Amino acid sequence: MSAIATEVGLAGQVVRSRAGLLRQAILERKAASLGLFIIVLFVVLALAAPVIAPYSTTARTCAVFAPPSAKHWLGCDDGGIDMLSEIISGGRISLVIGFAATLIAMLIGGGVGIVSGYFGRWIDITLMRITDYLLVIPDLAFAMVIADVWGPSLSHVIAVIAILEWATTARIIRAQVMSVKERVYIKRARSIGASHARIIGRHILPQVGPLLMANTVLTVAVAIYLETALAFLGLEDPTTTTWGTILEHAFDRAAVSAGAWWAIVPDGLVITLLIMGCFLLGQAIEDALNPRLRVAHLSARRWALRPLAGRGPDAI
Amino acid sequence: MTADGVLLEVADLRARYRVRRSIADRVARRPRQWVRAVDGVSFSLRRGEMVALVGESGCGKTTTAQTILRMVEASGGSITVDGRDITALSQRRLRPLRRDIQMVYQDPYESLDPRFRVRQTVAEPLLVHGVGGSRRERDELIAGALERAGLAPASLYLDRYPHELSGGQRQRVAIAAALALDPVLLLADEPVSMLDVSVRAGVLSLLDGLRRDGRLGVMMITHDLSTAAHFADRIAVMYLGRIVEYGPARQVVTDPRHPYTKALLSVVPDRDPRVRRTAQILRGETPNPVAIPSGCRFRPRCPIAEDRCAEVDPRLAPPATEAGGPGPEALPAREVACLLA
Amino acid sequence: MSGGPLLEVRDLHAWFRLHGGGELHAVQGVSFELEAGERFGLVGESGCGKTTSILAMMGLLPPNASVSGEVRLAGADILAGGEDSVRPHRWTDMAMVFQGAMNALNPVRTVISQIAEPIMLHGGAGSGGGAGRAPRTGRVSRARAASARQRAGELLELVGIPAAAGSRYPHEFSGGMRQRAAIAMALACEPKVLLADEPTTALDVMVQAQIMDLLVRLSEELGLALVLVTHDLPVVAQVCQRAAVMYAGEIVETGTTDALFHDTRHPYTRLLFAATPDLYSDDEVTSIPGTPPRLDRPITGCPFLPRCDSVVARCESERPVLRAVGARQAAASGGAGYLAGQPDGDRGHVAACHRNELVEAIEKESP
Repeated sequence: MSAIATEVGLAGQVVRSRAGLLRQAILERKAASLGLFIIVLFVVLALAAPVIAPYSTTARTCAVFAPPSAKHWLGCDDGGIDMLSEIISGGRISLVIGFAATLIAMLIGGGVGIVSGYFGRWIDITLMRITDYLLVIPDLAFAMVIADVWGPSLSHVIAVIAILEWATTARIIRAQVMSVKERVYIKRARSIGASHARIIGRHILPQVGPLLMANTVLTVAVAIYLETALAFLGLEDPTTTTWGTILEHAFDRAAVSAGAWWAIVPDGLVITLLIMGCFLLGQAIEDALNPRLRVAHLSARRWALRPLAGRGPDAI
Repeated sequence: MTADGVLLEVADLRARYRVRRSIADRVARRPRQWVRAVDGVSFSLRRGEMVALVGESGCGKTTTAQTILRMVEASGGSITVDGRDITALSQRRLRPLRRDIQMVYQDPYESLDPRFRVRQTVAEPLLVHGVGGSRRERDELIAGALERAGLAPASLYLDRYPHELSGGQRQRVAIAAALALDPVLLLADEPVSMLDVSVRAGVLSLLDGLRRDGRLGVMMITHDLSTAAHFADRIAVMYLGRIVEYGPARQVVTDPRHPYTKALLSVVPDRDPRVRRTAQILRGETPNPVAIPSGCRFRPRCPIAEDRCAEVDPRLAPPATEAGGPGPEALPAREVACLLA
Repeated sequence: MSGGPLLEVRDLHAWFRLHGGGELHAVQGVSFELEAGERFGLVGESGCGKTTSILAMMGLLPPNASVSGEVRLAGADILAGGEDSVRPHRWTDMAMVFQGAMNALNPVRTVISQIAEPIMLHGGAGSGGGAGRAPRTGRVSRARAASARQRAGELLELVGIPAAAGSRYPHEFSGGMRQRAAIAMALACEPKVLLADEPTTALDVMVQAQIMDLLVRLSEELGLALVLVTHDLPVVAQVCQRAAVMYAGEIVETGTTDALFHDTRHPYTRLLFAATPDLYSDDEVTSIPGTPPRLDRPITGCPFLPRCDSVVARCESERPVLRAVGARQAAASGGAGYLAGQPDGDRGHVAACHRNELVEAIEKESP
């Protein structure tokens, strides 16, 4: 008597566990694999930056706005510093800012979302009003004011991005927690006498985890973008080299009128590429987690008709 | 345990929900309305007994179970488990007592955490209450609970995920998790209604066997009168938050006294196509528990209602035409809440 | 209408392409027939293929499905040309009440408007669909909308809901009323066949009785042919005249509901009845050990073999085929009025069981 059966739903799809779903989502979708590859590539480059950057980023090694050549693949910027080295080293800092800010935003946002969604009532009301407030503030205006008041520095930039980003995550996580909280196994855990901490840690967090991950990836993209914007507006420490400050310097020193596209385009390209990679991966994870986003049923293809059938393996 | 083995004593239990008021209601100062989900329920359960709480949706049977479990606060009446009054205990003081009352839920597909293996699901109550000092001790308790629930050999199931099990197996895992702490009282809320017919008898026999070996008492909630008639010792028929008929299962089914019970029994379809009962299909549907009718709450749908039924709210009492006195096997006599019984 | 039955399903098969490759053979040769005004039950547990069968009949399976077989409405095979040949008949000749239809009503539209919609789109009264169809693009004339609305009101009354209540929203209706509204919607274009998937499953027993009553009344008054798909044997016993029991994608026994209960021939049918508690009998309620077989692999021998309590030698190697059952001693079955010993075909009592055939052969030799 076979005791174990794999459940087969009406549409004939074998129901998988969620962990499998995630892996499947990433490996099967080319877009997601591409996104993951891009991100990993950039991380590896960033880690190897000190080793692979051909020239120094502080000492002058070529002429001002020198065009790309065999010695300097991407030419040089306004200060005679090799562009390629700048982009590689700048990527390191940008990624640090992006990941650090995202990590803080996820911790705060996730925490607020879980507490708000799980406990509800006045805790939820209070926290959500704070969240609403932050959601409504225009990002860049807020950033500019803070930068002005605090002064430009790396850690301030990270803090500003984190403050701007946690609110969206909090809302998303809260919605998920509120729906998970109503599931029967949570009620059963409560009736056994499990503490809130145990339920949140053992039952809710694992359910919320994948969503948090998708959100994290997407938030990294936004963080990179915000860092660029902040730098571009001159709110970052100009002595550090990040992708944003590279752009800022370029425009500031009239690279456009000098025709020095190599001071602008490659930098913009890497930013775009990383953001795109994050989006591809993040969207794929979200897609896998939310069956309602699937649009397969809207396809124009229909059920097929088989001409003849009979029993046995030789049936058509 | 009390002297006569009474595990659970529920007396005049009440539970109600607030109805949300709109701003218009607040402005017009309309009085707050309550949904009286449980409106005066009394019954008892002894060790080794199974009592079935039967009724349609909205009658308050699930809320009664949740109130006994203290997941919903009682607004009146008392709950006594194993001699201890738990009605007003704080959640903190209640916690250790939760070991004694366990509940099995209706949906086997939802009542298990999909990320927990069977081992972890059954281990959880042990961990919460600090039972079983070492991992080995706990594993023994887990295996014991699984086998008691009919999943033997336990080693075959320990590392499975819920999605790898059938509905019946999942429900047995839920029962095993409930048995892990060796409770005295098991509440089963529609334990088989979401299972295939061929699997139901197995799970019901399991529950039946569990209470027969004398260690616990089972309160089963069901809408299926046939199941209740087969497995329960006593049936309590609920309507709009009250028990309207209560007595030995066989008696209630073969000799119903309350018009609601009679109507319910008449509409249960028989599997033999030659048996055609005259179905007393009641008019309309169960009214909203917010607006409970005056007098007897069944009056608007009752086929034999008289004028006096609008004035007096009948209490549960032995029917007038009964011989009176305790029934066989010292079971309490049956009771009906009807002026005309 | 001449000779043949109203609805004839012949050798219906359905396959689903599985995600990781491979195929699930969900429906394995289902055949049955219906006359007008007849009520037929399709009984089975979850995963047996009963819902998939009626979805295949309506052409409502997802893109990863393939179907074969014949579905003849008044003689014409509507499945022959795939989706294009099914569509004209969908809703106008054959309609379906889905499982959980009561929860599938659009919450932001009034009930009556939802019933009027198919009337406006397909043209209601007395048509087979073609004439009277609304133009593909948008605008429906006022007159047409008004007549559709009136017709919708009549339908609501037909199912026992006062027409005035139609202007309410679904959330204001109780579960039973929503189920009736779903039935009214299915009847909007006056179909000849109604396929009902678990219409009473989520309902209280009192409301269930009301719906059962309604379905019987509709088939008697309107001449509607009803296919009732459910796992609930007692409901089928009381509503339907004939029924088929499905297991693992195929029909294992068909016959009048009387014959199925009083002269059961297939072990699964017998065990299924034994697993259904009866109010007044003290018979032990039993369960069937084991689980249904996987349908993504070919099955040798009888699919019920692992769970059967009356296995004979042939069961392991040869798959049983539906055959007309022989006459039993009339006394044993209490003078049942079933159609005994009918020639091969889908009318009459048929069962797919080697043991049954063996027993019949033995009885024939030694009466």
